[in-house]
Amino acid sequence: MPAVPWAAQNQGMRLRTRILAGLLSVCCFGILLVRLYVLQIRDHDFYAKRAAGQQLRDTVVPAPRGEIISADGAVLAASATCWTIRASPREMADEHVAMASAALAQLLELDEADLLEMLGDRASNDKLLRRRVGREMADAVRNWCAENGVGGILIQEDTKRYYPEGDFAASVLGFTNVDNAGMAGLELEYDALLTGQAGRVLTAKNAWGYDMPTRYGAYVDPVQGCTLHLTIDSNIQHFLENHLMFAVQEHHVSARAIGIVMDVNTGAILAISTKPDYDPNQPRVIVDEAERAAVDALEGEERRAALQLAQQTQWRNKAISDLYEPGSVFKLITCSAALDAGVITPQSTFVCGASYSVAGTHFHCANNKRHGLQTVAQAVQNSCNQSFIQIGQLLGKEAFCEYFEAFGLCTATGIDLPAEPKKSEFYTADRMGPVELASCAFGQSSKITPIQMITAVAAIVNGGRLMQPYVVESAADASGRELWRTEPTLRRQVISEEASAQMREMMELVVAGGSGRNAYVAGYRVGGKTGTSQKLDSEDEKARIASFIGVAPIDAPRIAVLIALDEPHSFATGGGALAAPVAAQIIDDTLQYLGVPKTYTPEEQQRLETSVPELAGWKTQAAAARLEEDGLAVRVIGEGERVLQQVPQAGRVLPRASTVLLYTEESGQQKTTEVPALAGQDVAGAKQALAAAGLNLDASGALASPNAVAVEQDIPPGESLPMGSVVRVRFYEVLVENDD
Amino acid sequence: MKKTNGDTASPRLGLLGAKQPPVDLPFLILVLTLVGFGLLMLGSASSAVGEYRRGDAYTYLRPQLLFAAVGIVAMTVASRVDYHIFHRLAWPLLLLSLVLLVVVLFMPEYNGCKRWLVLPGLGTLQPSEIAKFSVILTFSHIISINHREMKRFTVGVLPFVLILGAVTVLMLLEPHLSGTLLILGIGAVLMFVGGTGLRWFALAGSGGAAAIAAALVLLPDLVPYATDRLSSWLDPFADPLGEGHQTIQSLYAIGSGGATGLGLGNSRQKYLYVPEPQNDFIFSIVCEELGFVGAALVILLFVLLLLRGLTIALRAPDKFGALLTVGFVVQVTLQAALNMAVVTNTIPNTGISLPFFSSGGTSLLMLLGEMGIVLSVSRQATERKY
Repeated sequence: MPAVPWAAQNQGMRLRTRILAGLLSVCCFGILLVRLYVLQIRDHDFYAKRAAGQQLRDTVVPAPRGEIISADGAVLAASATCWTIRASPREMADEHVAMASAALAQLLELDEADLLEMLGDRASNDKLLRRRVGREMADAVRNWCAENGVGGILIQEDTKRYYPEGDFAASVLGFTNVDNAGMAGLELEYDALLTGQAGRVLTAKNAWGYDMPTRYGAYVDPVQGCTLHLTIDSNIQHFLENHLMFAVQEHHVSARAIGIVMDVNTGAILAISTKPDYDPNQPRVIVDEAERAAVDALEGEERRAALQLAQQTQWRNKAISDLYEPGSVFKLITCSAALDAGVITPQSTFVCGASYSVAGTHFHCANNKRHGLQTVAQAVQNSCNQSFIQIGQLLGKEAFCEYFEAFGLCTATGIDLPAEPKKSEFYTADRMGPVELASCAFGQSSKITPIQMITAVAAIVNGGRLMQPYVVESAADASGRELWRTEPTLRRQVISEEASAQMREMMELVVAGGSGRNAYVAGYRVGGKTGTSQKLDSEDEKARIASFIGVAPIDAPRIAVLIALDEPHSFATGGGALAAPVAAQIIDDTLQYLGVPKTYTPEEQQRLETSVPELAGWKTQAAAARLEEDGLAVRVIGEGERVLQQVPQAGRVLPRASTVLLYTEESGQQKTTEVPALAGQDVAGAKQALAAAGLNLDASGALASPNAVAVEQDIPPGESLPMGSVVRVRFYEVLVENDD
Repeated sequence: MKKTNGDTASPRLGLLGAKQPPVDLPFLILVLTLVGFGLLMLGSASSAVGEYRRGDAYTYLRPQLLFAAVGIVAMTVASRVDYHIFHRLAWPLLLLSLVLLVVVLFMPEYNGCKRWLVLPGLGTLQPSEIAKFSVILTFSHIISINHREMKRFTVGVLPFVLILGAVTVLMLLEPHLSGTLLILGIGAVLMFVGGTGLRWFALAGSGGAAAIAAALVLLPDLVPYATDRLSSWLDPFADPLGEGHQTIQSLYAIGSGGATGLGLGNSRQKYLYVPEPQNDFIFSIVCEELGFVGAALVILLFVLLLLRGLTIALRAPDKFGALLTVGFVVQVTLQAALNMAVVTNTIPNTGISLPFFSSGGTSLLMLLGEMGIVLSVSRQATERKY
């Protein structure tokens, strides 16, 4: 009998085995292959991205912002490396929490209870402990963690904006917020360019948050933002800010002062300032102490609102953002338009009487002055409203409006600074009646920005070319490669070359003998126009904006300077009295800095200065003779034969006829004297007062003006000086009449 | 039990020395390839877990290497033993495994289950592994004796149902669902190949469906549990930190492998993201490191093992050899397929390891021993080509 266990296989069993083979391999493994294809090929991106999302910790390394550099190479905004301290509590051992809280509280100057709470959030992997600390603090934390074997404290490289010059060019530079993003000024305008590309540290983490082996990591270097090279020259900016700030304090300017220095031929801004401003390193601190005290005195919501208002006020770049009535400065526009249109010539005459009536409205000149019969040049010089009403009428409203637009006064100038109003306030021809035309013609009823005004005046004097103003000369990437350079942009030819030349002559007359006498600068030919505008929307009826635009050298213009003092409270409110002297000082400093040689008229020659020679060791008599030869007076102290000492020292530049003291005896103590108070005295009086005290006068300012009085002396009254020393005194014409 | 062997059928015991016909070389190569591949992937997949858990990257690989070596020796020995001796071992082993399955229920719980018997000094043993082995032996034995009457219910169905029923009940008490499913699958396959009437399978299928329906009606408490499991299978992202966590991490690993993978040893998910990357989820690390290409290669190796194994079964000299071969080969490939299906979220998550790859020394040892029995069958292959 065949053994059962040895039973041979039969066909049925073989068939079933084959079916099984097919079923298993196709159904099970076939389905799995399809499934794997779906997961690994079709949906690969989905899973890979999610897997990377949990495996990789991406730490951003902020890129330093690009630098902002002035035309003369001064770094106005830079970036410094700093460190931000964070914690990943879940990576910190439980037993370290209390110890770390105590130690870090001390190292980071934080509250221990707060730290304990943050580190106590055991599941968290990101707590910000302190932002942007210096190297010392970061090193202290790093060392402490290393010494005590405490993990979970992250010290991340960060970058911090700082402004080496502090409170300088603030309104043009702007500032950044805690995230290093530009909030105002150039920082805002060129934010994208300055920002740079953040770097990344990519580290792989296991499910517990520890680093995986380093081969999964990656480091992408941050790329510093681009560097901006400005047209602004830090020296000229300093001249502007110093003189402007002095005027703000001297004349108690309550609504801030505006100053712009522009290259009239290119539209490049050489300096621009609104004073007082703020320190961009601490933009939120109210600079004005009285204002700050007033804000601090408040509480709660009131304080918050007041603080915000004060901050926004000090951040506002009035030179770009404020609309103002230019007042008489605007007469330059009306005049040049009329000259260009050919409706007048410089010799055209107009009569100025008690008043001039237009459609029943009576217009007067400032202070009810009657200028009588005048040429156009005299009308400009005297800032005569009635003449300009007539000039406006000759021009007609259509032409007036066309020129107004052509001078770029309707729309933004397009300067590369933020917050410029898109549109100014003006009458269009269809809405302009004869009364409006009259008031517009002498500078009322339209409101424009200071930057629009100076840009238009630059066109008037540069041959009629309206340029687009700009502050950034070029941009370079982090490696120093230049990305682009601003080419001066001619927007349009507004008036003819000839009309421009005529305007220059008339503007020079304004400074030579008109309302702009305080803008006189010995050695340079200056042209300009004063303006005093009533602030019609102000509650204070006496509120004025005293402004002046000066151009120099007026025969071959290089710079235009606009000064506007918003609400001065001083001996006068007129632009000629208050703004013109500021412009004069800036023109003087700037042209000297730019290397423009001074040429003097014969009268100026009289007041010329000379350099004191080295006389020590000379025979007394020879020394005296030498000084007299140079036009200097001599006072010999003592009986000695030879000169032992001299005051002033050799090399000191003195006005002619100053007195030099020669000491001839060893025992002879230097004689000292007290500086007298000179404010309010005229040139002769000041000279006399100083001579009486044994001192020399170095006078500057509106010397040609008969009514000039001393307003500023470099050595304060009461101070003691060696006899023979020089006191520098500035004279202003304070009796310049207001124009409006 | 009735002894039925004759003179010519006395089991040949030729462990050493005696000249024997050669084993099936392709099958041997496939087994050794899978063992080598498995060790390589275990070394990679377990390195991070070993490092973090025990401070030693080789903590899982080292014992596995030892067991693989011992296992290969065991396979060689088994291949030289005439498989007919298992006729005698079938019933005693089944009895032993049933006893062990009862004993294990009194062992301390581990992860909520009582699956492991602790053998002092030797490690742990899963009685369910023994049960699998003994079910294959017993079924093959019964079928080869009763092959003429397999169509009859009392012969072709009842004994198997009784055995499977006992084993299933005991294993579900552990509980060990995946092992139960696997044993049921193997049992069904052996019955199918052995000649059980197809209508019984149809009946079992509908009976199972009816049982599930009845369970749902009678025990409504099961409904939320079942729907929970079902929804976490259909949408693992619904609860990424809870039910779906394992599955999601496994899918991340598989998906991020892409076509060609991150490279051997470069898995990122093995860094504590994928739970048990050295064990049940080792295949997801294979997919991540070697990509679709590597995963397909692993599948191909198992398919080839299946096909070659069934070829050996076809060439086996008798029904017993054929059924043993079918049982062991199907056990390996079915377990592999179930593991991959779990890892790829093709079926709901249940704990099941990947043969040759997953960490686990005794299991590898048994596996290689079983492969040795298949090789022993292959030695007696008839010349006829099928």
